[in-house]
Amino acid sequence: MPANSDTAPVDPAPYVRLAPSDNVVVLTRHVDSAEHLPGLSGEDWLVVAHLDAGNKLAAVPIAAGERVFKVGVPIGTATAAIVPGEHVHSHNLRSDYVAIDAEGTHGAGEH
Amino acid sequence: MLANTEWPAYERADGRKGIRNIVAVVYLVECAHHVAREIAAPYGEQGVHVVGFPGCYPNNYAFRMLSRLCTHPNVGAVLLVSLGCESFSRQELQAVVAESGRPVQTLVIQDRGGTRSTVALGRSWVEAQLESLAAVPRTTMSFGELTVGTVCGGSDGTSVISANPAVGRAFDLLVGAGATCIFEETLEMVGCEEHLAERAATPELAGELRAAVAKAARYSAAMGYPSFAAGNATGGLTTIEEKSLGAYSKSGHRPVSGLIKPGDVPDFSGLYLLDVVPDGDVRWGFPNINDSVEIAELISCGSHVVLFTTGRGSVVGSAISPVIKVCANPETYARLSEDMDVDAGRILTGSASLDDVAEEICDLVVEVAGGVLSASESLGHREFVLGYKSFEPIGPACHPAPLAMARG
Repeated sequence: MPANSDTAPVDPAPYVRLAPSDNVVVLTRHVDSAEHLPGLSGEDWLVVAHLDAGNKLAAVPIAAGERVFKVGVPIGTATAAIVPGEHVHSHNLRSDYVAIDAEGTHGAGEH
Repeated sequence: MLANTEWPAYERADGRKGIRNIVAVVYLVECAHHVAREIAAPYGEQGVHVVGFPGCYPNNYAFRMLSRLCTHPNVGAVLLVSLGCESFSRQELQAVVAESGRPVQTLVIQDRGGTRSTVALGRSWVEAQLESLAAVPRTTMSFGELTVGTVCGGSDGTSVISANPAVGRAFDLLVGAGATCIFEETLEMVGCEEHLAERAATPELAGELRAAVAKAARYSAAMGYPSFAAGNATGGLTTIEEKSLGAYSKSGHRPVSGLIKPGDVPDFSGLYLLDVVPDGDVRWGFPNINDSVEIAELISCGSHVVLFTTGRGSVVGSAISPVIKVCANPETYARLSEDMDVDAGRILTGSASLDDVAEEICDLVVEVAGGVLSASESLGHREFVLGYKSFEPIGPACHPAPLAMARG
């Protein structure tokens, strides 16, 4: 899993947008609760919980029912409206994955 | 700019171009492996590589794999080493290699007086080939004639952030410059099949891509290791399709030109998915027991170079084609830098962008194609693994002609 970022980068934006069309960014180091991050459009993002590197933040406003894209690929649908800088995870994102095999072996952990 | 790049290459009698000039010493059953290894041992630094098949029962897939590898453009001459009583058809393989215009010799240990005398005969043949291979015609090569494969191994949570999408962007650049690029790992594409299908060059191909991923999901479920376990939130992964992205992001964003199977060499440049999961009933165990099997399959489809992304830090290379290591994790890179070619972890520390690393990968592909040794090559890594599988031939829907050509 993501590296333990024990050296805080000087870089003011500890996240990457993996494809230009993505509506989320991915943290490249852990961030702390109450940490302020520079937003993509110059706004201020306030982190409300400790998050490890690899977690996702909304890059732009995401409406409930909108598909979430990472690396240019849809990874699910937002279940609630999400504001820029907000943590995107299982509380506001669900899988769109539909069974492709008769055995139905997928989706064990999808909630 | 990329499209005009050229580098020195070896011209083969069949018109294909190679970036290495290798003598392949091929054991046709495990019983001949030691003799093959002993024949090659003194010439490790001179481009003599050992490949082979351990099984004594016949297998069409293994025959096709060795046929393709022995006639790979990086190979200049082939020595077949047979025990004598195995099922592998040494005559047929010798005929395939001879037809390609390459020097080929078969040594049957049971007819040549045993281990010591076969090793001596093999070494003198190899030495003669090393001399004559120095005279293979040189030419220049460009991206339109280059095939690049990609595989990941020892992935971790950083892979999808750095090395894998960087290889994806490098693939976008390479395909744009006219290269043929091959990605695989349908087992790790479960959940991405709809997006994959949307990228298919034709609707018929879209159906084939979906079917390939469905087959992978069925196969892995039957083996008791479904490619997706209970959701794992550690490291920020939320959904199955997101998890599969790690492998999938290596494919970049270009349209998918075709679906191929081991030993299929694409007829046209473009981006191809290599289906490595056997067809039919689950008979052969795990589709890929390790990364080296997948690398060999990518090379059997013509890959001159293989881009290997790793997070935890794999050290393997390969026989026949150079492997370039793209390290996703900056801490791993610091620990294993002697085994790595590209430090994609700089994306995480903010000192490089995905585009920077993609360009660095493309530059390195040109350097390695031009003769510079990759890290694993210079360390002597020449791994090779081949087992039993079975495949149905691909149908016409899998490999459509490019639109312009089909209409032209």
